[in-house]
Amino acid sequence: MDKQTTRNIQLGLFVLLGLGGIITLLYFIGSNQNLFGKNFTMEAYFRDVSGLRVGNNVRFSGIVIGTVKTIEIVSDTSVQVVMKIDDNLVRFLKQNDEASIGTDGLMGNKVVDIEPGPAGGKMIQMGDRINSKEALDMDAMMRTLDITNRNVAEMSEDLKHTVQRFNSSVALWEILGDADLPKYVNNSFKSLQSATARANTLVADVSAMIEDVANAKGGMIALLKDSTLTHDLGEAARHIRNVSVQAEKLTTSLDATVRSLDTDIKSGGGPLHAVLRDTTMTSSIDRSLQNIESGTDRFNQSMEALKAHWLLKGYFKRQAKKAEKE
Amino acid sequence: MKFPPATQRTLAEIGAISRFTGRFFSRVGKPRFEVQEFFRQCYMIGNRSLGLVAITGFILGLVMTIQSRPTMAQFGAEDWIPAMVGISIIREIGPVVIALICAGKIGSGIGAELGSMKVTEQIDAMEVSGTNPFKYLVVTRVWATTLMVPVLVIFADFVSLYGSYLAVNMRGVTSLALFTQQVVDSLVFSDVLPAFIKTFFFGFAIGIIGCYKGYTSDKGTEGVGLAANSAVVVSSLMVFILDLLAVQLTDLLGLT
Repeated sequence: MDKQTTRNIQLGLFVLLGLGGIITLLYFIGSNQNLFGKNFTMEAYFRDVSGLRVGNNVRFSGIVIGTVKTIEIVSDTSVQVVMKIDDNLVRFLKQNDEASIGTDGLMGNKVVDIEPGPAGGKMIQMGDRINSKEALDMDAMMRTLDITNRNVAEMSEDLKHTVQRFNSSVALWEILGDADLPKYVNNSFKSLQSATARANTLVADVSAMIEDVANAKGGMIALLKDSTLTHDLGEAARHIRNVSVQAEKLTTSLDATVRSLDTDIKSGGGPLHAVLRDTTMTSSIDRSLQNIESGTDRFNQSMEALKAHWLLKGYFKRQAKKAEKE
Repeated sequence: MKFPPATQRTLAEIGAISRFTGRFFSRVGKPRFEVQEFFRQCYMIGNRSLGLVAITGFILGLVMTIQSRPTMAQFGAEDWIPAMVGISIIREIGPVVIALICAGKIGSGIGAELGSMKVTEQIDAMEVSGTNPFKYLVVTRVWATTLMVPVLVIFADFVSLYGSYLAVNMRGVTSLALFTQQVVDSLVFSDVLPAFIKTFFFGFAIGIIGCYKGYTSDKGTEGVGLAANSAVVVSSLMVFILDLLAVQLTDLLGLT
């Protein structure tokens, strides 16, 4: 091997190493510099990994912290997913964190999303298992959306009918097209406003009155608050009614009496007629009264005479003494 | 050095190519400039490759479009085919495929030409007659490939976009104006510039390796075939290595 060849070999080695060095350097600068620093693993069990594949990203709070290392079916209802996590980021993970399968964007690759659990969880250890939760199921979402769509379609159909009826209504358009209507409405509102103002003052007055009554605490309030009063009032009313009934009866009978009396008087039968209408009788009564008067005078004279008689003097004296005693 | 013989040979080859490249750079800035020979080589390399590059580019665009249609249709994104094909052709596939075609055509041509000159001792004769064979043969050819490969790539990009336009119209209807609009809208400066710059390096690698292989060939007529063959292999490999470096650099500079 001559000298030239040896130097070429050395140069070739140098160039090759340099090239490899540059490529590696660029690779490290370009990447996150920790792609080879993943030794930490943890696992989660899912019922359905919905197309997750080895190498998919693992995200914690939206930041890529590792990749999926293995996916194995453990039983018919659980799939074990082992994740490689960046050593520098392990300290943020807790044992009560929750993993779910998500999608990167709408159509993108599947990802494992790890969400922080409640505060106070223990630091995660190598090979730990964290809880998983069901991810949003696209099919279920679509099913719900389908129902929603149908409802919306029905609603829009109804809305269409309503609008069509509005459109075909002549009266409505007349109302809408009436230029004077706003004026009327305006006036109505104005009068309504004044009415309201008046009602307001009225209510204020009434409320002042009620307040007065409430503050008075006198007979009025007792009257208003007495529950027996109603009963008494009822009773009184009943009595009044009875009285009025009897008064009516009385009035009728009085009326009848007056009528018969009237007829009696007019027809000229009975003593009343005689008393009221008969002039001869009047004079005879007059005479009778004169006779009685003169008779009484004579009787008085007789009595005086009797008092003077000795037989009867004692009696009259006793009578006088008795009167004196009393 | 305790390397197996095969490794030793490879390393020696790499070293020799590096040395040859260094020699090129030590000569390139110094007179005498063989301008006429340079233009002749440009014509030979550029113009003679036009047909091959055009056909390759056309088929490339056509196939890319037809191949990507089912996948895009799955996402309902058929309208995005022009943009997607445009970006992939201009950013990556156009430069690399055309560089490989050029490595096949130009690299082997240079290797065979210089190889036969070498084994027939024309190069030695040139040196005796006072012409610097390195400047006359190598520097002009390397310059020609360095400048012609980018031109060929740009030409091929356009042809393959036209092929893509035809392929889009095979299944759907898109006007050329709309297709152009979609492609141009989807392209940004950082798509075009890195792809354009790396084609200069591809061209340079193809030229320098072809020249090295031809210039250093030996073992008679057998060596000519060997030179042509290994020129294609090494320059193709070099295209990919450069592409790797280029993509890393663009990524690093944020030109994505």
